[in-house]
Amino acid sequence: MSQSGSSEKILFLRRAIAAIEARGGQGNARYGRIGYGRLNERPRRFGSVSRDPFERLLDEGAVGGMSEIVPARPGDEAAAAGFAFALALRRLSMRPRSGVVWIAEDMVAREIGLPYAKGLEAAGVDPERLVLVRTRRPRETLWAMEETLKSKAVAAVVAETWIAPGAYGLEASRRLVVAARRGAGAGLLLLAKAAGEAARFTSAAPTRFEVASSVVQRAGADAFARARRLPSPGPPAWRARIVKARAGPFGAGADCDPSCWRDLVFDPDKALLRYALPLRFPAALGDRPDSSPAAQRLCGGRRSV
Amino acid sequence: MAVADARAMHPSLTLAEADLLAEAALLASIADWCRRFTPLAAIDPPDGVMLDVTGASHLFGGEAAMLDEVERRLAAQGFAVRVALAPGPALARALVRFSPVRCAPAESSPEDIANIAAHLPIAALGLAEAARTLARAGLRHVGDFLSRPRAPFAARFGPDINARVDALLCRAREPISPRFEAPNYMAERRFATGLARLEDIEATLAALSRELCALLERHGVGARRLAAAFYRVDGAVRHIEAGTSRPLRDPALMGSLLRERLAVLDGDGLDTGYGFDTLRLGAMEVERCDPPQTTLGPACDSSGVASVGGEAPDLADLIDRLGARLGLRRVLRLYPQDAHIPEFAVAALPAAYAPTGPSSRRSCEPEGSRSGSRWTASLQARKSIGESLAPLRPLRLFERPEPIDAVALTPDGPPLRFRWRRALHDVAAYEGPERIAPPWWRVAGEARTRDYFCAEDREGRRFWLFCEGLGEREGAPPRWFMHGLF
Repeated sequence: MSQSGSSEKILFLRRAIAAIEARGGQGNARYGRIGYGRLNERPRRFGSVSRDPFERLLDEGAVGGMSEIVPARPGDEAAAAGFAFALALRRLSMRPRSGVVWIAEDMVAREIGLPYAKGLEAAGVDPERLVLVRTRRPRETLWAMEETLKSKAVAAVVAETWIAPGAYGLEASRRLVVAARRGAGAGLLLLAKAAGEAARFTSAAPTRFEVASSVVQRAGADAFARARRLPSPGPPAWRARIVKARAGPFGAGADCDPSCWRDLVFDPDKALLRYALPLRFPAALGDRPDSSPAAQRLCGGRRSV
Repeated sequence: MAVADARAMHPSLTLAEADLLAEAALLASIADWCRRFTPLAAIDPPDGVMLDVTGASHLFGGEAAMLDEVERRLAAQGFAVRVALAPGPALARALVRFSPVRCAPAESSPEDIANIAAHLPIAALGLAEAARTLARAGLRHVGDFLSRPRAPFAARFGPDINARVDALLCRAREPISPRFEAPNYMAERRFATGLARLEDIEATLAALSRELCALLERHGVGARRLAAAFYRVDGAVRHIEAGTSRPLRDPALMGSLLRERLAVLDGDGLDTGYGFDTLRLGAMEVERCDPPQTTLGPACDSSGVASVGGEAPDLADLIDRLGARLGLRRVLRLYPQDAHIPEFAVAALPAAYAPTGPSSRRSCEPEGSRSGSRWTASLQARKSIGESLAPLRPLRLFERPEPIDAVALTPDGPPLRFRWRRALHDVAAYEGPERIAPPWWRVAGEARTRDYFCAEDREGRRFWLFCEGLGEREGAPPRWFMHGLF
């Protein structure tokens, strides 16, 4: 957690209990049975330093900055967009009054679709805080992103572009970095066309993530195989690595290993990413608690999985 | 005269087909050009342009001087032109076609007008049938008509003829229908020679915005739609328009919006050519805009203008700026709809025209209070039913579902393997089905029931698929579609 000692832990536990109570005593059934790695339980305040360079980078981006997100393979564009969304949501949770601008290029919309408000809502963001901007060409996307980054009212900008990595170079990225420094929001540029080329092009952006869809190792997969049934998918998960991290104010960089892939799970309730450990299976649909009020009354609200 | 007769008289005559569309377009562009004299310009088909110069003539040195100016400028562009000015449109129309009199001043007495009209031929009334009959009766001038009792004429030719005469004598008010509505608030600059440099034009626009904003402030309104018109010395006219998402009264913002529009035009549009000699900026639509109450507490509005639209002002400015360059229809906000079919459950509407509900007044509320959100109900619903670990809805939705080939063990079972965009995916985990039926009140057969599955393939990618049609019950065999990605 952090250096400040036990009082912060107690605060965290209190909040966890409050959250359980708020859910009607259902308990933390939702995540309680799944193993997670280190908890990064809430966004840090400015200035507090985490020990993990990866976390630190996520936080650093949160106070303004510009990151590039590149899919690892063709077909991972949606995963990369999901990761970008998770980062944006994290930033949004730090600035509750501001909005997110999502810039989607027509070509990207054709490839992986447009952001879907019901899905955003399911992931825990109020779609009312989102402004969707549709652009025709990469030039327009970059311009719109630069304008948005300069604005003070935006917590994060997610721009999805189909620009060729060769066309997106030092000059274009430098403009964005400077704009991000002037403004208050964080810029997340998804280079959808550069799949697999994360290490092969240069830009002025301080951070670059490479994201793939995650193959989570499930414990007990053989039990399902014996029963000839398919398990159900768990919470959204990605594999990410830091391809590039310029030494920022917190001195990231040296200890970021570009070859180290990290499995991440997104928790929409708290708007944060966690390290994923091998997942146990979520209970099959029939075995899950009935959440209708009648059933809860029947079980005194105590039934859990 | 028939073509054959004309050819017989002048064998070298060149014949050209009349291009009515091109003529109408030319007339429209002349009318647009004439808006430099007054905002109210109408087309008077087939060959006329009607200007309402009420209250505008003194800007050009009086009525006679204005007529000269119009005639000189149009003649300089190569048109054979006749001009006339009268207190009413019907009289002006008649003077310009049938009379050597050019100008019937606005302050003429009814007797003067009757004198002028008396010398016009009956054809000036614009009733061809009646004119022929009257000519046979020996009535050749409007004066002949005026000196006789009117009732018999009305009995013979219908009441229309008296209305025409009244219009000609400017006794009845006859409106013109202008090509563009006149802006309620406008500012204008004229120059002796044309401005050709874009910097000068932008500086002029900035000055005009300041003028316009002062005008708007005096009336307590803000502009929702701005229109700028540029009149080039050679007669071409350019228009640009910019919409705003809230009443705007800040000259700097106004200037920057117009600059964005100019920048987009630059590729193909604002050809400065010989330069623009008249620039006009008008507020086409305005809304009430009261100055904000300043408080001692933390200010929730830093600019000088109240945010009636309710956005944080910076965000509203950003929306305007993006909309000015990309088009207002490309800057969207998402609104929930009462529909279960996924693609209809959300409407994306232009952010600039978005309905302002109670929810949009939240900028000053304490943080965390989501009382007004349109999405609140469903946000809470998610909490209560969200026991599933996988999200219920995908993050990305295709604009239209893409057909795929899928293999399932049972007709209503999950897909085991599917081919999407020529790549084969093996399903490793799935959840579903979630059945979404079309509204029963729609015509059966148009929409079919969908079974949605969330499927994860061996590489961890997640897809939102659906199977359309319930086998035999709905007729056609089931088809599979890809609808979204997680």
